[in-house]
Amino acid sequence: MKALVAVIVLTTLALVGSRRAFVQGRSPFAVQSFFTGTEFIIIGLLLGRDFLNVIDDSTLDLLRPFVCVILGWVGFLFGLQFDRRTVSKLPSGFFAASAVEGMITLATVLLAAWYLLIRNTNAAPDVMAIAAVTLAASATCTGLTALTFIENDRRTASLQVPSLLRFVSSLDPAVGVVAAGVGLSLFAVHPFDAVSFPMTLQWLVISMCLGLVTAWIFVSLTLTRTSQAELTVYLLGVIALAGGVAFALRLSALFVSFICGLVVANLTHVRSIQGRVMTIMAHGDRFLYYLLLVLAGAYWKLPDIPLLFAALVYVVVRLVGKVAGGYLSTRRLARHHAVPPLIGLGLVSQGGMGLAIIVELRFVSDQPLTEAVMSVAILAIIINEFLAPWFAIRTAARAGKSVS
Amino acid sequence: MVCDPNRCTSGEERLVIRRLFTLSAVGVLVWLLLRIVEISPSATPAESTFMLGFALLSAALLGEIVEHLRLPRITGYMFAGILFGPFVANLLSARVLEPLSALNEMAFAFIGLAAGAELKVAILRGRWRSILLLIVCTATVVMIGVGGFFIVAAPYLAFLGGLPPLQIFAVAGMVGVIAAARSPSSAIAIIAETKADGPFSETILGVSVAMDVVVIGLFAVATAVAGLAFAPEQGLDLVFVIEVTGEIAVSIALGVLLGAIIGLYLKRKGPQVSLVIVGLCFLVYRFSEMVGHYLEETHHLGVGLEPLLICAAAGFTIQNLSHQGTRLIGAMDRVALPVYVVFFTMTGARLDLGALATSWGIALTIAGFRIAMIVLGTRLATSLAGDPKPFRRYSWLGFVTQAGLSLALISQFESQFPDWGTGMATVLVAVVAINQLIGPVAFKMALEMVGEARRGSSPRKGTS
Repeated sequence: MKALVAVIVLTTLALVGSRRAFVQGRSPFAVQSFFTGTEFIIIGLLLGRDFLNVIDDSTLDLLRPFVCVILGWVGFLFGLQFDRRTVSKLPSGFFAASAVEGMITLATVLLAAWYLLIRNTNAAPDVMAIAAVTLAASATCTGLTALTFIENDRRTASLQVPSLLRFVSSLDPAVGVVAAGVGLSLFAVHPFDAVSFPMTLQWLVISMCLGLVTAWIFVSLTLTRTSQAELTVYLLGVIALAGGVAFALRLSALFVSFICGLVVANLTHVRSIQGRVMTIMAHGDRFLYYLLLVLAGAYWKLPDIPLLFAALVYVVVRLVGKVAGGYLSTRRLARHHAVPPLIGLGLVSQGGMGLAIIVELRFVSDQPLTEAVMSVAILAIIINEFLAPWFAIRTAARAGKSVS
Repeated sequence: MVCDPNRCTSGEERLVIRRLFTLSAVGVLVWLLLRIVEISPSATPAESTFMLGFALLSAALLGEIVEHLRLPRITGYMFAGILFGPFVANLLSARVLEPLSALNEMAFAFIGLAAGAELKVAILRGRWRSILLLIVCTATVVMIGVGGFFIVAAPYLAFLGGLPPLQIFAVAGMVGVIAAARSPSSAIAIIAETKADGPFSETILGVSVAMDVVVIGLFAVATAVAGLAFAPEQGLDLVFVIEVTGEIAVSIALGVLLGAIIGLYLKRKGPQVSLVIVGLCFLVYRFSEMVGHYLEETHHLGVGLEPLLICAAAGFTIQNLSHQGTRLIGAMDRVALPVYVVFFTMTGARLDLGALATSWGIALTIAGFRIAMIVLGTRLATSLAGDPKPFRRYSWLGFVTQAGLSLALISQFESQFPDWGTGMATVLVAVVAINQLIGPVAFKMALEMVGEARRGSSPRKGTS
């Protein structure tokens, strides 16, 4: 009965979410900043184990294969966007800036998380490594929600900065996905030490090979004339295969399916069907996104006071990483474009990919530290989403002043 | 090579070879993963997910391959299930399939909705006499024929252990009713695959869906009569017959209500129609199951709701009582193929080949006799209805398949008569397995012969 109610509630919420638009107009700015999707995480929390228990542990277990497919779907769709023909048209400076900003944020949060975990926990090094890498990988990702506010603001809509922010926000999650993939390959499967390093390294190779093989399967299936229905079957089959194999081996489903999508996007003969694949994926994209938000809330355990503090530290360290990354990565661009020094403040939103990386952690590690890391990260994502519109508008407005 | 020599082109051969190569590669990948890499027992949901992916891909590939042999795709899907299921490769083991049972339940209800949506009153109106005669004649002839055959064969069936003649008659009645059951799910899948459209396919589908209702009712009567034969001191349990009648009526009423709700959602142009339909199908199945458990636990009633009937009634309501039939079919078409692939692959994986292996002789005889009775029944019905020659000649081919309902009735049989029911069930499951394998092939042949299978459904030419 409970599973039935949970499925009804989840489906309804995801449907409502897929139809909604961000609150705009007369609502106070703080209200608008809250209703950017984060409310669905809160609803998930309320429906979850800590409050109403509508979505209980058994329901979450029942939905595990489904979540596995959602994460595979997210990774594949993200990889599919890296079509080399499209990417090559983008300004190379913007591209490099996104990568550098992502890596600086990754390094900043990774070092801080590793230091704080060593100082404050007594978990095994492998578990700490997984936690630190996941926190850093998620921190690297930037969401697009805050940009909606810039584009709706009369003062900032016409500026060049929003396009740079959009660009960076679209690309830097790749750094996060790759970092999560590498991190889980190195630490989640095999004990990580100097002696067994080659053994651990093999899992990274296996991760990439899985992506390549599943991509090859998809490509070989679509070499011939394929109807839209057949394409849907092949797509679902490949996503379930890639995501399921990855999780069964405790590897990153996001990374494996990202590689799969990336390879599919870049094989010439498949390009003709790329649009059709995108059409299929677009049908379920928003529905699955909101479903993921609610499920993330249901997985989330409300943090106690020390973890609340840890979440604030995570927000601050990430902000430092973003600001430093944004500043250092755009110095060359600043010679020709109006790029404010604190452009990193426009990249505070953590977005769906950041959340997906955190949810993925639940599937590869069942240690107590994992639950704590999820609590911290999800709270931080909510805070970041709340702050992001305010920071983004001020960043864009400051750029506007410097132009005028 | 593997193609029909009269039709096959070198492009098609290349396509089949390519498909076989890809299928082998997918199989080897999964086999390697399962054999070389140690997967922890806790990884079951993940294992089920990648097996789902494997099942989708391998079944779709085998479906394409068998299509080039002029066989229906669902035979390929079922063959994939058999090949990779517990009795052969054991990749799709019971442990792997268990977390995916929700998908199978959803697919079952979805197929019911699709079957209902395909029944158009405008076409059926002119065929009501044929439909009625087909139901009455085939049900009567098959029940009497197969039941009679069973009475003759009973002394040779060791597991019946010398039941008295009255009880043999009662069991024969139940066997006869089970033999009359059809498979609307297979019929709708073949119609969708061949894009068949016309009075023949409409009639076969209409009879298959209506026959499910008739069989449920008749089985209730047969069970009540059997109860009297086995425990005469308890008297005739007519309450059970009334309960089943209520079950059918409530299921149809709920289906009409569901149809009205979906119709309204379609009219309002609600979002994600395909996903909503899939979700609702899952809910209908689970709700029916829940009501069944509740009635059994609280009132000791052996009835519940019939998800297939609810969904068929809903589809029929939308198609005929609203203007949203085309939208419904369009939305269902977008997700229909994955649903059919999953459903029929799991059906194949769950086919009890063990039962078939132990009792193939008697099962084959009963299956053959059942088909002979279907031929007789359909000939009689179509002659009385004055149907055109192709109808008279090929109608029987559409009624061979048996599936879910038959298996559900067999399981009830087993639970009610534990002494000899298991042996009986083994034979009947084997009969269903045979019918399930040959039925879709027969129906596709029939659609091609009467000319209702569209040209687009013929094998595609491969690109070189």
